[in-house]
Amino acid sequence: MNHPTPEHWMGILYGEATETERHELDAHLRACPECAAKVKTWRAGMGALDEWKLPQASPARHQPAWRWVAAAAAVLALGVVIGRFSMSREMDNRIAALRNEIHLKATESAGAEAQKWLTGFAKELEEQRGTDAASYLAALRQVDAHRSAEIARLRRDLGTVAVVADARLSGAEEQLYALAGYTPPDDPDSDDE
Amino acid sequence: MAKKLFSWPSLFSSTDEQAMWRVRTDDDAEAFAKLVARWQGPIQNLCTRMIGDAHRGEDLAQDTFARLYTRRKNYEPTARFSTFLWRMALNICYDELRKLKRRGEFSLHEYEDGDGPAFDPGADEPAPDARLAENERAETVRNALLQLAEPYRVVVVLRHYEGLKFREIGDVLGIPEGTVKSRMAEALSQLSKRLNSLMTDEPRTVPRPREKLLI
Repeated sequence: MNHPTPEHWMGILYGEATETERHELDAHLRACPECAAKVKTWRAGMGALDEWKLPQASPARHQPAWRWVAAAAAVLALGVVIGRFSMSREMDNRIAALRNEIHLKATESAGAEAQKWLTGFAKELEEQRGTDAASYLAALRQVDAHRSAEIARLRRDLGTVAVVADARLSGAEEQLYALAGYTPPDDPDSDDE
Repeated sequence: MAKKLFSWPSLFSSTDEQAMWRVRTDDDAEAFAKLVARWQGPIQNLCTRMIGDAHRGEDLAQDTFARLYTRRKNYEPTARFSTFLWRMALNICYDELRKLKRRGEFSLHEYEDGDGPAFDPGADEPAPDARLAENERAETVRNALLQLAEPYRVVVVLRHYEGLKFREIGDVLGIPEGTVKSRMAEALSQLSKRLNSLMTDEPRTVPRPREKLLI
């Protein structure tokens, strides 16, 4: 019996198989205890995974700071309007308290949010600086290597020049010595004859 | 055409790709805020499942969005935004795991002090003893998942918890779909072995919708 591959079964277990595949594999499953056992094991694993649940990320916690600020501004504006139409001292005090509370909340929220983001950005910046420093260092090393190669080449050239110059000087010296000991041959047309 | 013209989402919302394009080209803060609002939950969950720590998961999600903004110029409009973001988040998780392993801080017993993993605080709040049992089961699963090798764990997290299709996971990880499926099968086999006691002690017979596909 040809057994479907685990890849086929995964398509079925996670609802990604086509209708035809599903019918074929269902038929196979009824007739094959070996595959049925495997599928049972996988399904048990899937069921167990569902035991680890995570809470929904709280939207209030992640609202951008500007939302708090906007909400605070809206409530403050409302407070101003109410204040204009109210002569009650008590009302004024309550609005002032409300303003302070909103201001405090907005500041706290914005501060915490901003702090978190700043930490993230600072980290990124630090990484970026690290990368920049590494690239700079690599470039410097490359320049250094290039210069070293240049110096080595110059040394070689100078060595060659020195050897050649030395050889030529030796030749010139020999010629000078030869010239110093030179005696011209007798002139056949001289008066001595 | 008329249907499209009067489609509310098309009038008042943008796709992730459009939003990211505005972030890239105009440094559009509002578009960025929308992306964060849409993706904060899934990315935070991914990081938490990969690292096994809810607090670190939250921090890593923040890091992911910070990096998304600083590297916004790297986004290519031909690529799916989700693939781009999942990859970025996974790279941050891998970096964190490397750091933790280097420092010897990678823990399989985060909740031993009784500060168990948080559960949905819905209206049907379980009784304290039931909650304790749930926490214990969750802790067992968390440990089993963290014991999986990273190539297997990432596939389980993306498919089982985040609900990506096998093909999408292949795109994110840069591997063939068949490889993703075979890794998933292997991961489930390993998990079943490790969680054998959990499954036999507490048979959970409530099938999930997708499991009803079989017979």
